[in-house]
Amino acid sequence: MGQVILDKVSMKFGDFTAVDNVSLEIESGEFFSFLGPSGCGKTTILRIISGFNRPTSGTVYISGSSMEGIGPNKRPTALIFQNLALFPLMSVADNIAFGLEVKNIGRNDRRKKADELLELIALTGYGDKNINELSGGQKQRVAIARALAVEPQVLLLDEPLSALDLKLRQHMRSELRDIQKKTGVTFIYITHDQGEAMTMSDRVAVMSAGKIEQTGTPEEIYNHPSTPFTASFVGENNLFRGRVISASDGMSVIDTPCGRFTGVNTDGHKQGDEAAIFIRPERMTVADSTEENGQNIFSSTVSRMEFEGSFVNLFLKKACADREISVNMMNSGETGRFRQGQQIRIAFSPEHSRVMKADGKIS
Amino acid sequence: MKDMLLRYGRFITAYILISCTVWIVGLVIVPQLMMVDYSLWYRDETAVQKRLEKMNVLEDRLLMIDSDIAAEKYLDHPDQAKIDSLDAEYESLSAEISKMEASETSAVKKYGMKNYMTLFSNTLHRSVFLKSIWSSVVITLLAFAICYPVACYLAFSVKKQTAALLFLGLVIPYWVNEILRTFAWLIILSYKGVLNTLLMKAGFISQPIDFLNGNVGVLAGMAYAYVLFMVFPMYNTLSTLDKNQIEAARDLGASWIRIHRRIIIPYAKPGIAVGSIMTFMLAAGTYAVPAILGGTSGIWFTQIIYSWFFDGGNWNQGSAYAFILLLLCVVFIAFMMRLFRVKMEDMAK
Repeated sequence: MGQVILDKVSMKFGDFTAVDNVSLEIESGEFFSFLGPSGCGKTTILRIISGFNRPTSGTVYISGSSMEGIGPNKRPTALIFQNLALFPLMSVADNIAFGLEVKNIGRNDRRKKADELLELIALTGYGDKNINELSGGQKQRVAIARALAVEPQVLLLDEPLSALDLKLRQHMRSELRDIQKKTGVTFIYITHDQGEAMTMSDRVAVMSAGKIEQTGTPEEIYNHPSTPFTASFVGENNLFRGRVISASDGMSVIDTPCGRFTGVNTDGHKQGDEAAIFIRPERMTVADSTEENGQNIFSSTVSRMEFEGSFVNLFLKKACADREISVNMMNSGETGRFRQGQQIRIAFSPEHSRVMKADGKIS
Repeated sequence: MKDMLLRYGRFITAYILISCTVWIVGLVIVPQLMMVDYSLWYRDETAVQKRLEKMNVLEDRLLMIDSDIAAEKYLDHPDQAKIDSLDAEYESLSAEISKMEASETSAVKKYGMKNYMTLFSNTLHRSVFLKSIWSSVVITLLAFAICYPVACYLAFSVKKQTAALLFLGLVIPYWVNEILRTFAWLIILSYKGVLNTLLMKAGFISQPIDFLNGNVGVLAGMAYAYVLFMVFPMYNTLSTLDKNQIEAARDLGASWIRIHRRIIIPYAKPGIAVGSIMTFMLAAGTYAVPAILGGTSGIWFTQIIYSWFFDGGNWNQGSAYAFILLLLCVVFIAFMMRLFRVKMEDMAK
């Protein structure tokens, strides 16, 4: 059984449904991320787990016991705030040991524990410093140490890296992952940055409009998106809209303005459904004059090119598609042969293409 | 200076400099120095007495000379030389007397600490002084006890718009003059007033309580008169506290008491210090509230100062008392700032 269980949890603020009937299990020792755009309800979920918000309906279980009626100060969780919320009037060591002070643990023991944690976060000797003397990354680590000091079973992190600059953010990713591995504490991580979610997490839940779209490992989410939202929110994706003309054997054929394409039937749609086929830019190739068997083929015009060094992005006029189509190629040294306005043929394989029902708007 | 000229131009710079000088010299330094000077001298009554006695002696002597001259003139052969010398003496004496008469009304100044010592020798004044200070401290504590929950509520629990409305509610009574507000309390607290009537109707008491001839009236009136000066500075600091800090402390297991003790109050210190200083100084320096609500026993130190100036006509004594009150307030400010480890620049925020 999972360590953190959300059972049909909903949260309404007036007419607005922030969290809509979410059920989920998070395993002990897992690094689990909620990924979604701002306003999708991920922070509300975190606040529900930590006890700051009471769900309108549904129950949260942590380590097998219901958290109903249990305040944030009594839960085996610790929350790291987006702005860290360190106590500016206390020293670094006092910050870290605050949770122990609350438990009336003696001064010497507190100091000992703070020093241990300072070692864990590689800030040995910083205990007597003032919070304002620390850099952004150091504050970050102190916030983690402060949360770990109370030995929580679950550590909740609310976009803690968003205030850092890019380089530090990337560095902190691996550091967070290391700390999680060392301590074995369950991490529940909130982010709108898919890079963070993908690189650090064991599993990711993609959220949109209060609902969980898909839960899975980063590879599953990226390679096998199961909803149009996941497909277009996580990573780049090209899409062609059309109507299903046949659906069988886990594959379906869809008629689009750009041609007839075959792809994996991801959601069990039926013939005649409105659908869209998604294909990653790096899964598309420029087809040679020779016909490639079993491939989806269409032709278009090059509208522009972006050279990024190790690879090249080719953008095609949208003409028949909803939006611009991008093709991502390794730089093989002969990309110079493409010119703006040039007519080219593009091929992509059915097993990398995913067809899903798409009657609504796709973000 | 050059910087100021560049930034503001000639006219505004001149205006700033002149107005600052007028303010500091004309309204702060000179009046204070005058007050200190007044407080340090007193009329030397024995010297005045001696001067009077000496004048009497001289006047007697004048009369004697006058009669001597008359007697000499009455003789058949008056000695003209003697008359002349007496005349000369008469002239010089009367000149001396008229000189003394001219300075008779001006006081004989004597410098010393006598005016200050009066406070220590006069037991009534001393007890009123100590009671005023003690009561001001109590009022400050009372105002803090009333205002801290209010400020916390306004800063943490209500929306900004609601807070603005509530503040309006707090401010509206202050649109009425302080004296009138105090009279309202007189109506509420007097022997046959609103409060006594209500309490008796409700059956809590059988005899009206004399609120005014004790300290209750003064304490209630002043706590009411000065609460706002405590609420605003506290609200100002509290409203800038990052609420995540409160949640973080709560998340780490802290009880509400500990959150107030370790997170909110330390953060609110500058506001508490400013509020306490304002309340204390207003309370210690008030005149109207104890005059109206104090009855016969609730005399305030300011009332004694007032009476030295306007009833007793002893400005020197009044100045000394006023200066002592000023010193006390300065000491209180320094003490509060030290107690709360607040610096001037924190308070300016």
